[in-house]
Amino acid sequence: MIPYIVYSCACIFLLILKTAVLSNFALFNNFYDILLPVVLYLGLFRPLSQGLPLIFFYGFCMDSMTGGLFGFYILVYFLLFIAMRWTIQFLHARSFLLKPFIVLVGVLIENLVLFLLFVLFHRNWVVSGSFLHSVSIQLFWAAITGPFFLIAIDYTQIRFSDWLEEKVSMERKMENKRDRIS
Amino acid sequence: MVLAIAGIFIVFCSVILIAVSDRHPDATEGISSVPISIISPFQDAVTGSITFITGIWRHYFYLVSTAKENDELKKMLSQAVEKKNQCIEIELSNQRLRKFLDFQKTRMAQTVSAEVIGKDPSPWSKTVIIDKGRSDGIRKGCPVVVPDGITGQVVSVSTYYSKVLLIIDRNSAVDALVQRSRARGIIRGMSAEDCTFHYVLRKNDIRVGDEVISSGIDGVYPKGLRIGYVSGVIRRNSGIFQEVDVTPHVDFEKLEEVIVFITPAEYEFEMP
Repeated sequence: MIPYIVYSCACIFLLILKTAVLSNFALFNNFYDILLPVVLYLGLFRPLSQGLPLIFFYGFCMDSMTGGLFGFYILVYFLLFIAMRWTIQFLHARSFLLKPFIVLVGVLIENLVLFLLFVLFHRNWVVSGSFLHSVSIQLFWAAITGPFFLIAIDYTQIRFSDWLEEKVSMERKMENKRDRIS
Repeated sequence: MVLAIAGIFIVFCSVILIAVSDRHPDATEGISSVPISIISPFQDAVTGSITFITGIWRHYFYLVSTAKENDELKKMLSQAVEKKNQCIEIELSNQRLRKFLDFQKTRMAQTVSAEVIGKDPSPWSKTVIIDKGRSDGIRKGCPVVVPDGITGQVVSVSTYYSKVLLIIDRNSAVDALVQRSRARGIIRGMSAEDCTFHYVLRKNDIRVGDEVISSGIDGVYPKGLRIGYVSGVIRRNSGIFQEVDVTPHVDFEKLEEVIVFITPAEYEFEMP
């Protein structure tokens, strides 16, 4: 249960970071979807039973906070999660080939799905210069910060798992002691 | 095999959900206000802290330029007072004339001022979260303005917070007219800084720099509110409409406080 709470809090933290902090700086106007690296990480490194409910929760939060089509982020996160599960059947999750490019590919897939949905639901929609400009800036940010994001999440997860294991073993020891005394 | 079927089913359901929300945005309003109620108090606290810190910077470290600015503001204030007196005179004469003509009396709309506490997490949507909600009288569809002009309309309301769809969003539409030539059309967002003015007939005279105001016909925005100015006109040889670009007066990057019209301006006939 604890990992679910931690990842849910991480979702809320990242959403606040994006909507209330980064939005104050014009430099981050076209920053990519900040929950994307976590979704990719869940797909690559976490078990299906843990990752799946969390990505639905992430998608639901994003869909609620944005003014776009409701259900878009649920769909995109699910597709990315499936894509990551499929990828690790061929490549090792910690492969040096994956980390530098995975967020970049994720951002590209997200924008591609958005493009397809626009074409599907708004037939008179055309690719504008501002759309391409925004996509290119998102890709630029993903290329620069994406690998570091993944490394930071991985590092935090490892430290957290160690701390959790240590705590559980301590509790077990205490219980054993109590049993012996009684 | 079971997992593949489940996956296809989830994708299918998501596409159906998107289609439903595209045609009926109201359908998902109830559930989408739950995360807003949870996340917005934290946004409010963070934005408040940032405003407090930047406020300290502005108030204490910029004292040198403040004295100079104060002199300029005093000068501007005296001009404004003079202008206000003129306005009072005009208002009084307007009232007298309305009475004289037995004309309808304009009832001013009730407004609520709110602070922007968060922006849209997606680069593709243009919405903001404000710190006023249902408890302050805000309802879905309420127009939101700033002194510079129209900002957007409320699309989702929770008890203490609301989501505002900005006029630069792709899903936004405002019935508008050109102040000089009275040419009518629909202002639509492009998810960039500019808007486009749709369905403006080719025969209509529109020039770069023309002021665009709300027409009041859409039933959302009161008539006569400033939207922006015409920044580009393309009149092709074929087609019945012309392509018009409009640059909004509002700087959406620096949006901090907004005014929400909680009751529309109403017109009632004055009894003699």
